[in-house]
Amino acid sequence: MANLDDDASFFEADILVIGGGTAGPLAAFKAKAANPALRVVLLEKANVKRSGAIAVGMDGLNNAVVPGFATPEQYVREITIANDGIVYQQAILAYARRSFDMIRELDDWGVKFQKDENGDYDVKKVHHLGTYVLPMPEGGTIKKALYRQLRKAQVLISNRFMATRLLTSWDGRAAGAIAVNSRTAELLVIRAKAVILAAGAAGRLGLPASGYLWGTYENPTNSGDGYAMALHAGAELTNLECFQINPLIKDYNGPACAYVGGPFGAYTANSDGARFIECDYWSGQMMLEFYKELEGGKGPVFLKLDHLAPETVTEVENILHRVERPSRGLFHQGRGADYRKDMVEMHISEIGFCSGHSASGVWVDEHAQTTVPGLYAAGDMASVPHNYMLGAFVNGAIAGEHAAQFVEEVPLADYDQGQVEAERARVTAPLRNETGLPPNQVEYKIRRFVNDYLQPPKVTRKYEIARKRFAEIRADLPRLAARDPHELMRALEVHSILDCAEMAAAASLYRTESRWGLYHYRLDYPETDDRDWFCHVQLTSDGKGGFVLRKRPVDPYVVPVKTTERDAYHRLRIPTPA
Amino acid sequence: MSFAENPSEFPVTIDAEKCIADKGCTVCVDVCPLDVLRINPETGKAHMRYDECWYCLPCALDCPTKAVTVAIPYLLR
Amino acid sequence: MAGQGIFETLSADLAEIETRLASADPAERRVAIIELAESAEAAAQPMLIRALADPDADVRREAASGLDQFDGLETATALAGALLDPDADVAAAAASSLAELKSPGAAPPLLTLIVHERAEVRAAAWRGLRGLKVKPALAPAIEALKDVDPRVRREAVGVLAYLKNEAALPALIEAARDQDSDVRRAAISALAFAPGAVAAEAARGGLADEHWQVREAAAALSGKISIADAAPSLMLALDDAFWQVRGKAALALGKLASVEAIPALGALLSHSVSNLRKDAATALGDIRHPDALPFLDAVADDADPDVRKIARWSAHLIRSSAG
Repeated sequence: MANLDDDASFFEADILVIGGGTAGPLAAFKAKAANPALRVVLLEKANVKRSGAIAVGMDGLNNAVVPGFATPEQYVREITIANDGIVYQQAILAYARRSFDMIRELDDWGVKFQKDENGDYDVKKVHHLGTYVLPMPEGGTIKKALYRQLRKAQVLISNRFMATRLLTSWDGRAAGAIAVNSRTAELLVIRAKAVILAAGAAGRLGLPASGYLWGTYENPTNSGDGYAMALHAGAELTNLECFQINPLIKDYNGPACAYVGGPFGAYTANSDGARFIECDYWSGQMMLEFYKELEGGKGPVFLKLDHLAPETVTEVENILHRVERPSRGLFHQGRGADYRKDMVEMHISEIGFCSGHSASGVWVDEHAQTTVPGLYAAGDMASVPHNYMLGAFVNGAIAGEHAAQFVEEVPLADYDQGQVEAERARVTAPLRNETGLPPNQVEYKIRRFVNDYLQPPKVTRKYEIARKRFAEIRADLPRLAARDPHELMRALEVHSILDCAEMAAAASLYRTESRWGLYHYRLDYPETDDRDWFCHVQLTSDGKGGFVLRKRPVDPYVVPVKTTERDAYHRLRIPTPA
Repeated sequence: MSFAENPSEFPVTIDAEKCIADKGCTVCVDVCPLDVLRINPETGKAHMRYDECWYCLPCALDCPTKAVTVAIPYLLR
Repeated sequence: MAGQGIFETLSADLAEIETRLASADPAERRVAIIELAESAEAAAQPMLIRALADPDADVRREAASGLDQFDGLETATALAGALLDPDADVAAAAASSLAELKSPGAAPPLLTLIVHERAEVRAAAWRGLRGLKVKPALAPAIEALKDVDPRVRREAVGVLAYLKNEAALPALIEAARDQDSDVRRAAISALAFAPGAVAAEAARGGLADEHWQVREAAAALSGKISIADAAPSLMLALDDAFWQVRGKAALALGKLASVEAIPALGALLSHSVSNLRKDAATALGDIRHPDALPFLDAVADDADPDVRKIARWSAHLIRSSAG
């Protein structure tokens, strides 16, 4: 075990990227490509080779903007409608314009996208509105391709270091970060002119229905550290009440097959074997319909493939059981389930923060800049809605390129050594505790309360109780005890999880209306109130453990959405009388 | 330290006959996102050290000798 | 400045790896090869190529897999050699790395293997050539459509499909009548680059195929090329035994804006498979003709949400284009 009083290791970089999953590698690569002379550090809690949301690959793109199939403007309009209008369109447009070039670049790197017999991209039409689905039946090796590019670009890769706090200068600029090694507990201070946060979703917020801590939809390493670091560095976070909730195979964390099975004719059905989802886009509205059917008389909900030809089912299995969640076949096998003759029971996931599927996160503009100068954010933790994997790549690239310019013009920011000392005390405390609370129990308790009180539908009184419980647990945090550096990492993750739970509660209570379907469905404010709440909700730290919340008006649209367009879309969703 | 032990069936098992960690291989340990695998210094073979498996499978898929088997954790089965 | 031990080394110590590659223990050599491949360094390429001659098959396989990141003539030559490895796993790894080649300069060694006595070698060589899109592959690929082995014929179709060269059209049309259904299916899909009349002819033949997936591909081809000649056979396909074929035929008729198809498509709106009702409703919208409105209005409250959404949307499209 490390000597806790050792001086921390120290390194000076131009750009520090935190998180080596999806957005992070692109940020680091593009910063080096923009200026190979820059010292670019890529810090990863696991190992860049297999980390983050796409550790085992991805089975398809859900938001490919490919010429001939969709235009950037069309995409922006649809994402605007899917998010009930509360979007910063400039950032969505910035993504959409680079979407296709990114696909081609990844293709050059050896990432495989489905092509038709003539070698052209085989974009699938899943919905009648837009055409954005590009399957990746051989998408299991993305990380290998990314890793090779990082090695070639001479990015300074540092694995098994968990960043715990950002350093800031007296005038509020990002100055670097402090990290701790999960194998040795060695502390590392990295000074940098710009910091790019790409630490993924907050996936360990709710507890899966199984009660198994690690059975989360998100890769459990995505414990919300990025949100916590941004908060404590003074950055603004937005729309955190817009939770992520996903349809899943019951007891298994594999997503529904809408985008994989859809083009083959598979669908989500109720117990009658009939479709019930009115909504045309993966959104909170869709999840609300899913939830109501699940809880209603025609529940539970199933994944239906048994009407497809056996050849087709085999084709679907070859994707679903090999890429992204390869243990899925093993799970079905254990229960004797066969898509050819059985509908497979589905459920909804635990709650989390993730812009990949919703609209929450650290606020960023079209250059991936947060509200803290020199601090960028990209991927699932940044606020560009419905980002998915391709959005993480593109926004990571945008962050890396902009940061490479930014660092040309500024010196390293100074920070107060007191920040390092305070963080050293916080980080090492669990190792110093001879006795105390095991991290997994504290985590279990927080996440169980998240399920008990925060899981939508949201009820004001329950949220107030939750905040009380969270405050009690916060008082327990100094008693967290870790027997080794690995447990120390878990203990520090518990801090992030509690920060996220408190933010989720505060933001949800602030927005006194319902919006985004199930994501922010408040039983005591069941209506959408465009007059008072057609705005973003911004959350910042008050510096004393509490939060400041405020409204941010929606910026004027760069891609106008005609009311007739929105109405036409809504008219489609009018349910048929029973 | 006064933690009580909690018994658990490890989802990840490693065939010591096939494992070549003693020859310098660290593939499974490197690729585990949750960092739950370690190499036993006495046997030189890999094993599961922390019961925090996400059953994501890189350890099994990337193992050059196919020595790693992952079972779905009992609570989910 | 610190940094030692914090970062992965920027460059692998190739000399050190070289030492381990000389180890008497094949497992140690194998571990060294894995690290070598991960280094992503240009200098790793010749070392990996040398390892293809290692006495241990596992080492050779690892080397063949690692070469997937390199391109060009030397890589292709080495992998072409490994394709003939006595160990089947080594050959399979070489085949999959060959499929990653992109530069036209990698073609020569593959072009020598397309006449190899073993069919799996010929097939792998063609698969490797597909992405290179080189003209010298054209004539032999046409020739290879007569190969005795269906796997070879299937890969040769792929090469011709990527080349998109009109000289291959007669042979591809012939391949659309191959005795193997996979070859027929691939050949029909490949003809999307053909002039409309040619493709329509092939689609017509394909729609009468005995295998449903070939018929489905033929219907999909008709939709892609949108040639009016295809309409009569597509109308027949609306009665196909497989709803999957009917659906693709319906969508194709929509693309052709075939007004004559409206009654038959309208009839499909009461089929028990909702996916088919959905395709028929989509097609009726694409045709944009008021005759479809009574059919669409009748399913505006279909029990299936996707069907009624599309029926409503299609009716909206027709009414707004008329208005």
